[in-house]
Amino acid sequence: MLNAYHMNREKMLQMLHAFDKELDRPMTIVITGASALIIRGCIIRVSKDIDVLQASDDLESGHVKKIIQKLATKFALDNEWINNRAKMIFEDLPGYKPDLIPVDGTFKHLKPYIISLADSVITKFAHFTNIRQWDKSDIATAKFGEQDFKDIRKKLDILYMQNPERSLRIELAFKSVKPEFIKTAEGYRYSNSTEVAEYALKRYGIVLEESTKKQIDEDVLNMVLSYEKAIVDIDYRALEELLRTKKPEC
Amino acid sequence: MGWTYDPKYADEYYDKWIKLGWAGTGKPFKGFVDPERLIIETTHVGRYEGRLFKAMLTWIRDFHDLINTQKVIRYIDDADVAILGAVIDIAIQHGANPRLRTIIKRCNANKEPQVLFKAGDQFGVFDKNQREFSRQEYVKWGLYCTMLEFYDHAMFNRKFVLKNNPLLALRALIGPAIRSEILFQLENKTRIHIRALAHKTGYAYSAVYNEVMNMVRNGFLTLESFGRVKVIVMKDSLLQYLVSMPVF
Repeated sequence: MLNAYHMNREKMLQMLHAFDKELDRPMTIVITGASALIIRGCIIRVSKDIDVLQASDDLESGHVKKIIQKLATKFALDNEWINNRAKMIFEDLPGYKPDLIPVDGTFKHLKPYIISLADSVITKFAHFTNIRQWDKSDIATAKFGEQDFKDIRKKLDILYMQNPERSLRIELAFKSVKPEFIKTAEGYRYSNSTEVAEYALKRYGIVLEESTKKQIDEDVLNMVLSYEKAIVDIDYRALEELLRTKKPEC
Repeated sequence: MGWTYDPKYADEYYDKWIKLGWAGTGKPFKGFVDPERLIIETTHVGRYEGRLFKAMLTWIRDFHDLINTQKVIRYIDDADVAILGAVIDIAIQHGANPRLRTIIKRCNANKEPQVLFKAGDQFGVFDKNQREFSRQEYVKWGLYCTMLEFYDHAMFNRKFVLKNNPLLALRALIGPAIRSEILFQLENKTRIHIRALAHKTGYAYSAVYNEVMNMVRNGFLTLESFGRVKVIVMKDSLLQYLVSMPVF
């Protein structure tokens, strides 16, 4: 049940329209976090705020702030029912540019966008030193299509060029909640250790010994391992190698 | 104490914390919420529901003065004592009254460290992450957890809390001790035997007896014969005062 303090998808859209009506000049906002997933319809829950990643006008001062507070009073919401606290994600992902999807609706001045599903994964898991249980469950609940998986792979590859550790950690976190993401280049489930070895070699230049491959096949046969888990173990090996060679931070 | 998590009861815990002032998802619980019992149970259920854990942590930090430490200690055998110790310890570090240390003294760290949140992660990625980046505040209690944050923007104010929880309003006025518990029970049941009162409040008979007699001597309560037993009755004027106690 929704209490007055919270917004479900309909209430969020209602609030965006109410916000639009109060504006007297164009304004663009980019919505992220759970609110983006809620508006997109990927998860069905309520939230007390709409998380804004970027806005063309400052939400914390002047005319816009007054509008936010006025609407908070009118609709019995928290004073920060729309806020840009989410912008701190740029500390983890400096200069990050998410893909934007316009929010459906008839808006006069407001141009609201939500970030793509792939970007939701990146931004939710980017702060890897504190992955929150509920962020994990939001991503686990959301439904992903093949195109979303492709987008995530592409974005992780780009991020890997700038920050390999973060990219690997995001990938590991995502694989742990969406094992279906673990597929061969042809889009099939891993079905033997040769494919796992090929992944290790192509992706990280890690060579798996024949004895290791044999062990993987045996473990899968004895149901103490899955090929997906073997892939995750390879990712961890790559991460450990990366951390070993990483220059200590000053 | 053994504890089996049943997700179908999770909503009830959400509703109970909402009644105590958390602006979470749900509706305030309709019945009476025993804050100490809820804290004890959340040390178990909070391991599966991170938001409940965070709500408990925030509530203890913000409403520490309304917690009856004796009651927590009485229930402590039912708690996950490592989690309880960690939560109280963190709350004190973030501003809760150090008197709560009396609870910590009865808590023990896990001998074998465990990941605090049970994530049901089939590859163990979340567990590894929690171990790698765990905050020291948890490690000292034999726990691994990276989450140390509060619901700073999602807690209702004291007016809401006191208005919706008469027991807490009483504690706010006269302190979180035996007297509040007795008056709260008498507010709801006008005639009661001391033994029944001791049972309902969870205090020892002698402690309740002494406190009741003090209040009788001060004229707040009277003893009435009811057949062969004597029952305690709250003075009408005090009852009127308590039920109409203003909340600011």
